[in-house]
Amino acid sequence: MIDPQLINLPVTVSLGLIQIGSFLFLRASKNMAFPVAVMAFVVVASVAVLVQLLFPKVDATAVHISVSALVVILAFLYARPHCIEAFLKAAGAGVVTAALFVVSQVVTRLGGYSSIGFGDGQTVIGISEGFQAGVYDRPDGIIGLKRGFGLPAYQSLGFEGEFLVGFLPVVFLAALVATYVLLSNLISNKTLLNVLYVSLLLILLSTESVTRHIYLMNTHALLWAVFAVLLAGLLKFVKSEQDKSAWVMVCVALAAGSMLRADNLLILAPTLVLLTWVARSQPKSHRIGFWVATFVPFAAWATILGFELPVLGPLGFPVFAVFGILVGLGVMWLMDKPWASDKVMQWLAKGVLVGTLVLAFALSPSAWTSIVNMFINLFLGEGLWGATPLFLVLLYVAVILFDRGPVSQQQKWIFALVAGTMGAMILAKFGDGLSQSGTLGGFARIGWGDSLNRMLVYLIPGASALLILRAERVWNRFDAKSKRQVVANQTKKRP
Amino acid sequence: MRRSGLVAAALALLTSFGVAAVSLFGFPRDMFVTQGISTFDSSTIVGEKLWNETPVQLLNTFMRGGTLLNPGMPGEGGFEFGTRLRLAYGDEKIGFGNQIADVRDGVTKDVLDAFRSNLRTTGYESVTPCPHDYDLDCEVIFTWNRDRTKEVGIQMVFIRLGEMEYGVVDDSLLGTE
Repeated sequence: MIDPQLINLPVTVSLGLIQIGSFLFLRASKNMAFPVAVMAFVVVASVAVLVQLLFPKVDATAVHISVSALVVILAFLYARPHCIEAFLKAAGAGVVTAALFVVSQVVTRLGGYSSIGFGDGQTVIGISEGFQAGVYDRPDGIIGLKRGFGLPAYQSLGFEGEFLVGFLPVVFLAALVATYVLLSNLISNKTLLNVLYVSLLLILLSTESVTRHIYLMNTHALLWAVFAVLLAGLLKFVKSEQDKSAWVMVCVALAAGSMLRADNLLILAPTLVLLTWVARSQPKSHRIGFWVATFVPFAAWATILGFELPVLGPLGFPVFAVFGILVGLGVMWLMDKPWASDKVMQWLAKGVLVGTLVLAFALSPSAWTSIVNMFINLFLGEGLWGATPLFLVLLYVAVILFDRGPVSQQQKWIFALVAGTMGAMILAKFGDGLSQSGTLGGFARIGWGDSLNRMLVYLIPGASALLILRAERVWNRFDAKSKRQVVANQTKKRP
Repeated sequence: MRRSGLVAAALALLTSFGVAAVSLFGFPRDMFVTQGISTFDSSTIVGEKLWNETPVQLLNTFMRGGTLLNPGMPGEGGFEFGTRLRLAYGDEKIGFGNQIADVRDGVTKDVLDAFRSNLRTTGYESVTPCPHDYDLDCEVIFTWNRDRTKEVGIQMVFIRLGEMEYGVVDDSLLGTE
């Protein structure tokens, strides 16, 4: 029997409160409230730990609960016109999420489940243990930026000496839910959606490269959820929906990504530019809000690193954040030019992938080896992807052959985001190689532990969205054909 | 129409079961989680290396520039995962010709116990089908001198430590014992 004292009550309550707030804030996108709550939890935890590091007398858990309560109060004020019913539903959502976390803690402790052994994860729990004691062993230079902040920060909310037991499966669940909600926004036939999602789930949960993220002490599952939320937001903006919920969830997702690691700024960059373009119908302040949400959280945690930018010194990262926001304004100004169009933006995003590959082949003698390594990881099993990539590629080719109709705008945007993100991921991996002596000058090596191989889960929302849109069109064609057949048969039967 | 919908749904689910089965039984699998961990204390986990990982992935991650001695041929007293390493190392860096070296020969029990204990202190432990009988599960301890992590040409030696215990260790650890 498990000791109730082993349930982390303060953190469970905080998560429940943030879930209530998220549900109330995302009035028009309630289905995304759970994944967004998990992201908001990470952001709030990071802020709380940051405050504790700056003011050692402050207790991070107390700050976390206080900020979570504040989120609920603000959300309550925001949702006041629809008060009672909305609040009851939100409270229910809060209880369910808290209960899920409790179950996860109990199952994790009873089974003794934990991360597989990985160097980065061990470093993370080492840092989080330091955070608990209010000590930040300020890692120097690029290593500090690479290790990031958000993950060790929220993990430090565990019991003394422990990391936050049972939270990683909740993050994984959030990624699955966010992917489902994204797909449900894309197709209207709910039966088809559910059948395809269950099929996808079966395939994903039998793929070891995916299931390793249930407990892996890393940021990948959260970034998977982040990309699902960002893509859902982007597609809402494409439809010019005047939906504040979409803006809120996109900002929270960007802030969570920025809190986690420095290289996420690069990986999120193509998405950020695409969001700035597709949200043209939104107020200008909302669009620049995306850039603020991306750069300010990063600057906040990077400032406490024992690493200063050249010339700018300790003010380097705040100045960098301001510069990032100014770049955002510059991008918006450029987007007002007559040459800017959907097509140009989509090609720009795809150009990131093409450009990165051209750069790789021009500068790295290991580029071809990296491509071969990626192939081995994805299709020959060493990346632990099983038959999944091969099946998905074959399925995608098959649905294209069945339906060669024109590609929809939604598909074009999703493809642009997937291509841009893939390009940025390869670019980030090159940066990784430059920062570590002894690493290969390529972007992929054989084995599951290869960064790019692990990061591929970020593309699951986009890839499954592309697949499901094609599958729906094939289904609709088949459906229409069957209906025509039925009508023809009935006509024949009439005397 | 309803019938064709049901048929399509059944087909979709059956196909995914098929893909799942191929992934689970037809492709390499290692492990997706560390199970049965005795504590969640961060220092203990790091200090005692309680998080597991398989030798294949550890070799792929840490020993890319090395050579592998004596993994043996699978089915002939060698590790099942031996041939997987060909993709990363190439045949020329793997000594498939030799059987796994049995270090129990010629040493006293005390020396062997001390050696095993030493390997456990620094090593990652995992469970894999036994090279001598694939129906049984054996423990594999994987360890190396951490100063040599980035060394090009490091030799990893596959050894038998006990009835159900094997090791994959770098030759400097073997040479000093």
